[in-house]
Amino acid sequence: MKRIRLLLLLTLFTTVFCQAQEYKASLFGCISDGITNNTSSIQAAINFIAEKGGGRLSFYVGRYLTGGLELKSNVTIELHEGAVLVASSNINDYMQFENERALLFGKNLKNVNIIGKGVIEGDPGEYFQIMGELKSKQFLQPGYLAHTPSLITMVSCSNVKVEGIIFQKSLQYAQKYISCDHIDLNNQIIRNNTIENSGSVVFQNTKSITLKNIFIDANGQAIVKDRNSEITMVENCITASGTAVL
Amino acid sequence: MKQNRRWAEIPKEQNSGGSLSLNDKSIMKGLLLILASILTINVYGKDYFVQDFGVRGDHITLNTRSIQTAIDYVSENGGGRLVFGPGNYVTGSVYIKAGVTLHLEAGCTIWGSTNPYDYIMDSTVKWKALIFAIKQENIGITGSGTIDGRGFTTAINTLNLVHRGLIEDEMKYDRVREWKRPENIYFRECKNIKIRGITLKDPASWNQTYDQCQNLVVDSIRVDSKSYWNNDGIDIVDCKDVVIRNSYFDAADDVLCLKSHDPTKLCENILIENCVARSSANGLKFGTVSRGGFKNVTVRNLTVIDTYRSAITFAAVDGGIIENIVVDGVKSINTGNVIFLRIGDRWSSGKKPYMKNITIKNVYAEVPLRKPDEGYGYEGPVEDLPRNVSPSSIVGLPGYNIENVLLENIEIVYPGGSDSFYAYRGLTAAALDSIPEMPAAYPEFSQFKELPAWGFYIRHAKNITFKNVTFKAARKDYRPAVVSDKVNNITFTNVKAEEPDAGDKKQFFFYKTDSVTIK
Repeated sequence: MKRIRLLLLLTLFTTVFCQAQEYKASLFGCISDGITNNTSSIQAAINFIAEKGGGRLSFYVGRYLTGGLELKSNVTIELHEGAVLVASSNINDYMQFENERALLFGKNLKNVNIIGKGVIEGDPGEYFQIMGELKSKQFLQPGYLAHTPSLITMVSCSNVKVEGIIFQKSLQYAQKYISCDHIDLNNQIIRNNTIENSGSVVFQNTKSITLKNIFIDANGQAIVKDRNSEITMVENCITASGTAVL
Repeated sequence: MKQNRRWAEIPKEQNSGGSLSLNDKSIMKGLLLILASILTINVYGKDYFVQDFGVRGDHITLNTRSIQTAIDYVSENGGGRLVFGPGNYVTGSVYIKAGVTLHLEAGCTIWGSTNPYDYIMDSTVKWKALIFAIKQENIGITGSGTIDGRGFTTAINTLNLVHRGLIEDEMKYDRVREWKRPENIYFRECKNIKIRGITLKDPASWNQTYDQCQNLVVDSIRVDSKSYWNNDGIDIVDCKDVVIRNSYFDAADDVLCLKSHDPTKLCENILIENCVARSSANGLKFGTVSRGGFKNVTVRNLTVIDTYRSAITFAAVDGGIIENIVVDGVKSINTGNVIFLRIGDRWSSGKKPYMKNITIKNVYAEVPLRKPDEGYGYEGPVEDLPRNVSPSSIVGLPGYNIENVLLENIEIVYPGGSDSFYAYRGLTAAALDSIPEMPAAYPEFSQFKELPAWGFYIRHAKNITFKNVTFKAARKDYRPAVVSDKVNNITFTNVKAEEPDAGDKKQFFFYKTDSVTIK
C-alpha cells in the first residue's frame, strides 16, 4: 500500500513536472482568428514562462496575428502543424531595439527554440501599402524604412534552434543572426520571393552555425553571411532552382 | 450644441440674493482667478489626422502603437490636435504628451481593448488606464465622440487571468482590485487640461481620475457608465483650480467625486456647476479617501436623480480637512438621502480632521420609500437593514465637532410612514447613546441603521444654523423631524416640520445640546 502511494505520488509528480513545461497559447487569451492582435498576450505569456524558469509556449492550428515580440531565455515557441504566426503589417506594431525591428526579437539570450511544423508569415503587400501611405504624409522619422522588420532577429544569443518552421512572405529577411553562436537551423522551408534583392537568412559575426534540410525559395541571395561568420555544417540545403544555398 | 441646449433647460436655482458674505467673496475671487488662467490655455496648434499615422477605425485593428506614434510625433512637433474622424478605433493604453489634444469628431468611438494585457500598469500611479498623461502640460480630450472602455468584458477577462494564476490579486469581494482594472482616463501631475464634449462609457474601474493636476476644465461631457463595480463618474484627487460644468453623469459608483490621497495635499479652488448626477452611490461626494482634504469648493445648480445613497456626502474620515464649501442650488429627486456630513477616523494615523464653514442652500429634495436606483446596471447593495427611511445627518466624532454649518432655503419631502416594529430608535438617553460612534467604519448615511429622526439628525456639531427649512413627511412617522445630540449652539429660523396626524408631537428634540435658538 505504501509503495503504491509512493508510486502514485511519483507519477503525479512526473506528470505535473512534464506538463509544467507546456503552456498553451489560449491560457493567456491568445485568439487564433487572424484579426485579433495578440501582441500583449503573447508577450505576457513569454514573460510569465520565463519567470517560471522556462517552458514551451504552444500554438495549435489557427492564425495568430501579432506585432513584435521580445523573446526570453529558456522559452520555446512551438508552432504545431497548422499554426500560423501572422506578422502585423503596421510598422508601429514593432518595437525598435537599437537598429532592429523583428517579429521575434532576442538579445543576450540563451537556449531559445522556435520549433514545430507551423508557419511564420508576413504580408508585404499590405505592409508596403501602409508604409507608402505613411511616407506620403512625411510623418515618419528618417530611417524608418531601413528598419523593415525581419521575422526573426537574434543579437548576441547562444544556443538557438529553429526547427521545422515554414517561413513565408517575410517583409524583408526571414531570419537574421548578429553576433550569435551555436545556431542550429534545420528542416525549414523558406519561401521569401516577394521582396526583391533581399536575403532570406542573414548571418553577421555569428559562429558555430549548422544548417540541415533547408529549402529556400527567395528572390535575393538565399543565405547572406559576412566574413566573420562561420558555418560549421551544411547538409541537404537547396534553393528552388536546385542550386546549393551557399 | 445639442447638449448645451439641454443644460439651458435646467432651471437655475434661485439665489438667495442680497450681498455676498465674506466667505462667498473669497471664493468668487478664487473663481475669477481660475477663469483667467483657463482663458489663456485655449490655444491649439495644428490639426493632425490619425489615419495618416496608420491608425484604422475598423473596430478590429489594435491601434495602440500607431496612436502612440502619432501622439509622440505631434508632441515633438510643437503640439496640436490629433483628430479622430468617424470610425471605431480599438486601442490599449496610450500616453498623451505635452501640447496634444485628442479630438474625437462626431461618429468616432475609441474602444478600449478587452484584453487586459493591452493595458499598462503605470509605474508612477500604480494603476491601469486606457489614456494616461503623466507630468504633461496643455493637453486635452475634446470633440463629441465617445470613449468606451468595454470595462465589463475587460474586468471579467482580468478575473479569468487571476483564476488561471497568470495575474496575482487578492480579489476583495471576489473582484479584481480597482487599480488592476483600467480606467478610461488617468492624468497625474498635469497642468492646463481641457476635457470637453466627449462621452465616457463603461470602464472596468473608475472613469476618469485627475490626480494632483492644476487648471482643469471639464465642460459638457457625458458619463454613461454602469458596467462594473467602482464605476465612478469623475474623480478629482488633490487638484487645484478645477471647473466642472454643464455635464451629465450616470454611473454605478460615486459620480462627482473629490478625493484626497496625499496627506500633504488638498483639493482646492474647485467650481462645479450645472451638472446632473445619477448614481448607485453618491451624487456629490468628498472622499471616501480624504487624507489631505478639501478647501474652497463651490457647487452650483446641481441636479441629482435616481441616486441610491446621498445627493451630498462630505467625508473627512482619513485625517483630512473640509473647509469653505458652498453648495448653492440642489434639486435631489428620487434620491435615498440628501445631506450626509461626516467626520470619521479610518486611516487618520494621528492627523486631526476637521470640517467647518459649510453652506448648503436652495435645496429641494424628494426622498423615496423604494430603492431609488432600481433597474439600473450595478445597483447599489442592499445593506444596513433593518432601517426606516434615514434622515439627513451631520455626524462628527467625540472631540471632533462639525462646525459652522448653514442650511438655508431647504425643502425636503420624505415618505414618512416608518414602522417602529420593523426598526426603532427611541428618544431616551439610553436609546440615543446606543447609536454607535463607528469612527473606523466606511462612511455612508445608512451606517448607523435606524436613526431617531425622520428629517435631520445632528451629533457632535457646533454652530449649526437652519434658516427657512421645511421638512415634509407624506405619512405619519413615529420619530420627530429633528434630533440634535451633543450639539453646541444650534439656531432655527423659520424651520417647519409638516407631518399628517402628528398631533402635538414635539418635532424638534434636543439632547445634551447647549444654546438652542428658535426664531
